[in-house]
Amino acid sequence: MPEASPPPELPPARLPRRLRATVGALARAVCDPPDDVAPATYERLADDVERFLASLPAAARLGLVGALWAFEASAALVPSSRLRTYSRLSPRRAAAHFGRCWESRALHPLAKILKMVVAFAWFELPEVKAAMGYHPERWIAEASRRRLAAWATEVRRGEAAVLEPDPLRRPAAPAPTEVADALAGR
Amino acid sequence: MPSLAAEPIRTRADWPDAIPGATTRRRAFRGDVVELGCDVVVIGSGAGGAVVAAELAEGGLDVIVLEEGGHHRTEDFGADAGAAVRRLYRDGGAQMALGSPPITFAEGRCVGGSTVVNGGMSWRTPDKILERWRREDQVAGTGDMERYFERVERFISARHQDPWTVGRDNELLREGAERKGWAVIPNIRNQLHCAGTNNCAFGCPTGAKRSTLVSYVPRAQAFGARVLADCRVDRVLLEGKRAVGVAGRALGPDGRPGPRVVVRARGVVVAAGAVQTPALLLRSGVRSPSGAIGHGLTLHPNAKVTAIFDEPVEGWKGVHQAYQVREFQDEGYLMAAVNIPPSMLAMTLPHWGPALREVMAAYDRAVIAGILVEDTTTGRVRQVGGRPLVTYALSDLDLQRLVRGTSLLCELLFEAGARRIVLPFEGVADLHGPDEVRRLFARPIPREAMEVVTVHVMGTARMGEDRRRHVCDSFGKVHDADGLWVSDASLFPSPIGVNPMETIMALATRNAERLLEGWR
Ligand SMILES: Cc1cc2nc3c(=O)[nH]c(=O)nc-3n(C[C@H](O)[C@H](O)[C@H](O)COP(=O)(O)OP(=O)(O)OC[C@H]3O[C@@H](n4cnc5c(N)ncnc54)[C@H](O)[C@@H]3O)c2cc1C
Ligand code: SF4
Repeated sequence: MPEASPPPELPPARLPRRLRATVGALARAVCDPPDDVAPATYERLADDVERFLASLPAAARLGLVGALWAFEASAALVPSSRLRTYSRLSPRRAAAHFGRCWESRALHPLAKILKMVVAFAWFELPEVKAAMGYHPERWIAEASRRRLAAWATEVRRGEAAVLEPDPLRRPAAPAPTEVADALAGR
Repeated sequence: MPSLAAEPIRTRADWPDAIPGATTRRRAFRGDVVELGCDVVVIGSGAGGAVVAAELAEGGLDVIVLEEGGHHRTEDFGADAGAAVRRLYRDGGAQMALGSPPITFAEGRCVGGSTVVNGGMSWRTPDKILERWRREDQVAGTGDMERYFERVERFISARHQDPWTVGRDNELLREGAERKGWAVIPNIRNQLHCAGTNNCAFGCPTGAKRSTLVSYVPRAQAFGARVLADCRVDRVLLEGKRAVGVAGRALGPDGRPGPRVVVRARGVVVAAGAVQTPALLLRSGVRSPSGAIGHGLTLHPNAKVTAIFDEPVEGWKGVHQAYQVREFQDEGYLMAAVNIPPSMLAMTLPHWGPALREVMAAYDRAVIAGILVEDTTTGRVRQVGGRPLVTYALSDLDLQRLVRGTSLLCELLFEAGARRIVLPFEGVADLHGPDEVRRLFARPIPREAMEVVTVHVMGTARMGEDRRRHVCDSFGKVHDADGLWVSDASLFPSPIGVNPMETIMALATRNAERLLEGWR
């Protein structure tokens, strides 16, 4: 049987530079990473968010991009920001602004959705997982090896069994009575 | 043995030229149309669709399965959760039922449907539910389900786990339940010597989980069914009240919309899941005398807690949901340990900033456990602009049950030795001991503060013998239509309080049997 390669992913939905910076600034506020995280990590984070956006239906994608723009601009409305938008705030001010939105009844849904997107992408970064000591792929490899070492024959037999003919046994038409019984509440 | 030359699953790379039996009609406007014909066309290859397809194909019918999602194989699955949700789930796993609180739900979209990403729990429909369906919905034959369950269990290899695959998080859950004196049972899962990799939600990388991708889909192919992936059905074609086929669109090799597709068939089985099925019926203009297409959505609302222990837990080592706490099943709650990767945990925790960092730093000592509630209210799927719109208003009663269930789960986890528990309620402080569990009841938890999710959507084209109330008859045939069946989670007349996959498969088996009996 010819084997196809896995379908490629959709091309990422490109964000403008400014919004890539918004994503990075949000990650600093939401995930509180150590200070020495390399700039390349934030670039990879933005790449990941772009890939996620591509998997959304058009309306949701537009909504999320709109939410990022709204959040980026919202910081400029705070007097102490001196008209700087979110990605241009210092990390301390950026965290404070995120906190204000999180606590605000009106802005909480916006802050929450952005937190969800950014936190998911952040903790998917290989370097972040490695720093946590989380190496699921090693466990998968080890557990899979153990499985085949112990059960290879049973596994092969079980996999083959699913293709064996076993036509449905037709009962001697009890059905009309059953329907009548059901209708009569019996 | 069945034919060894089973047709491979066709994907976007094959549309249109390599699709067996297809003819392409060139059109000057609106693009070419690829046309196919068969006895029965099945829409969707998940728990319902793949089973119907395999049974009908083995029964001698010429079957085509159309699947919107792509074909991903066991070798493609791994621990990259981000890539998996983008490839295997509908809308990146981020669907929402609108309401207060909004409820996030997930469905698979790939060959194998949600069975590729599900947890593999395989439970028969509880007797009391079958009895309720018989009594309240006049569903026929509920007393004769045993042989369908047995057949399904054989093909999906439903059984208990090998003991060495159970991880520490599940043992802690069991220990907590036993110390409380609560009933706790080992789960039955569809697995062939599962390795305990804890990757079920992102595709099983060993093939141990017998999703339809590796069970019923190959079985259908082996009996001659053609399985065409990357093809979304937009409409059921109707002539009067008779379904005569379907129309849709395939993806081109670049992932953009490709050719239009028309499949002419004498029978159409819709098995697109409880959200897409009613949306498809509605946009096709199917009229039900019940007016109930899309009504009756139930979804087993879930809430999860994150319990931090002193000891290393490493919840990703070992199968998830090895046990279920059944003590409160009569009250409509189930509890289980359900490890999720750090990304998903961080996304859903009610914390941010240093508080989030602190919890995430303890990820390797966390037991993530959830409660599932058998809901008492229903929501609705509408069809707006070609897409489903899902609404669901959690009832006050279910809200209280979620809070009570969560507090019971916290009691259990403290009994097992938890030091701190993060709740699924925003604005409610973490708990640090059993005495604080009472705080959960001290003041009401606002609806909007609750983080409620689900992976079980059911009941939007209900079966039963009353055509004024039910969309389909007891065997999935749409009332008042010819040649049109539904065979997926949409059929449930009520929630079932346990994991739904096996019920869907058993119903699909008997629907196929009935269809074969009546086939001329
Ligand atoms: C993460 C997760 C965990 C779960 N865990 C469990 C568990 O442990 N045990 C259990 O019993 N249940 C579990 N479930 C639920 C269970 O998997 C589903 O209830 C079941 O698979 C639903 O079957 P279905 O046939 O209704 O739909 P699905 O299995 O979702 O299949 C529907 C298929 O139809 C396709 N489709 C939809 N629309 C179209 C269209 N227009 N054209 C072509 N194709 C279309 C979809 O892409 C999909 O592949 C889980 C679900 C999820 C998402
Ligand atoms: S835990 Fe078992 S069934 Fe789940 S993905 Fe791993 S091997 Fe497969």
